[in-house]
Amino acid sequence: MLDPPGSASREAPQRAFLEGLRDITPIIIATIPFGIIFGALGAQQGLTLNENVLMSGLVFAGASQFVALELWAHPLPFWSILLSVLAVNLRLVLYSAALGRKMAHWPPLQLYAGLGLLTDPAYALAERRYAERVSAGYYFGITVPLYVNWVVTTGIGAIFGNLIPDPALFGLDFVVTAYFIHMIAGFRSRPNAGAVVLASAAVSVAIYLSFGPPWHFAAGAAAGMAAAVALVRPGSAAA
Amino acid sequence: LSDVVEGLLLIAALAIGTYGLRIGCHLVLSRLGRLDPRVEAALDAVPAAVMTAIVAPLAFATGAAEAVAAIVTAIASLRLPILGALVIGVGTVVALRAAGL
Repeated sequence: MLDPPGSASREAPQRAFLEGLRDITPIIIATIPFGIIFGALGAQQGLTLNENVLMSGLVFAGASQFVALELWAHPLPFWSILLSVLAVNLRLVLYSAALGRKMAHWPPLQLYAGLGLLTDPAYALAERRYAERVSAGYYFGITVPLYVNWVVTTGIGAIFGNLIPDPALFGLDFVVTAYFIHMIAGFRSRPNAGAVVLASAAVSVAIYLSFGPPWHFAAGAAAGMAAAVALVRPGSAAA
Repeated sequence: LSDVVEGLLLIAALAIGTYGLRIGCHLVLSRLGRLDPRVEAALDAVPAAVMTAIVAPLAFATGAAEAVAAIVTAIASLRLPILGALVIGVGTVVALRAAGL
């Protein structure tokens, strides 16, 4: 349902907040296990409870945080992790450009705090509900509970993760692999998704086997993007 | 630099960089018009390309159990929500390892 222009300002903020909370609740329930898994895997990778919670609280971007954990090693591949996390989060640019236009009427402090909490579900829900002006009440009704949930469940997972002696025993080491596979499968409706995934996987495995980490992912990602560019047709970009 | 300091610096850099993507590009991109189709295609491909590049060696250069479980997970992901696919994928890897694969 799309509201007419300006309707957000007529909506009572408290009521909008509760409606945001209602819309985000199923997503919060679904993300509880991932917060716990993130915290537990972080603990296995040697992150302290503080580092774990700090990363969830300051970065607040689930998939990219799993990427960071996956590449976390000693010595720390600082630039590899930074570049790959930012690459995974590049989509936030597009969300920010699209949704930011509908938040331009907010006071600056509210706007920059709100954009700091921008995630996939926040974008999807707010974009769908408001055609012109996003209600701040609704937006914070989505984002604040999601944020608190992510940070708290990370902490729980980090405490719990130190108690698991050998994660391979329960296949916990495979959870991240399966998580990424499911995320990748979710992109299948995008143009040329199959070619992107095949190019990326082939180059990544080849570089991994011949040169070893950490450059396999940069090369694989570049190959996937190159495949997308090579296959682009004029007029098909609107998809 | 000690490990602890470097870890904290990295987390700070990740946070600042991600926040920059969330706000900075609102300032820049909202003033630009449409992007070149090739740039748009490349940006659109980034998440799938990066995640595939990271996961492919974990799936296909680790062992037979992981490779089979990865394929099972991919098939399950086409039909099931994330938790269902995870349970099937992890269950497969545990069963195959127990079977000695």
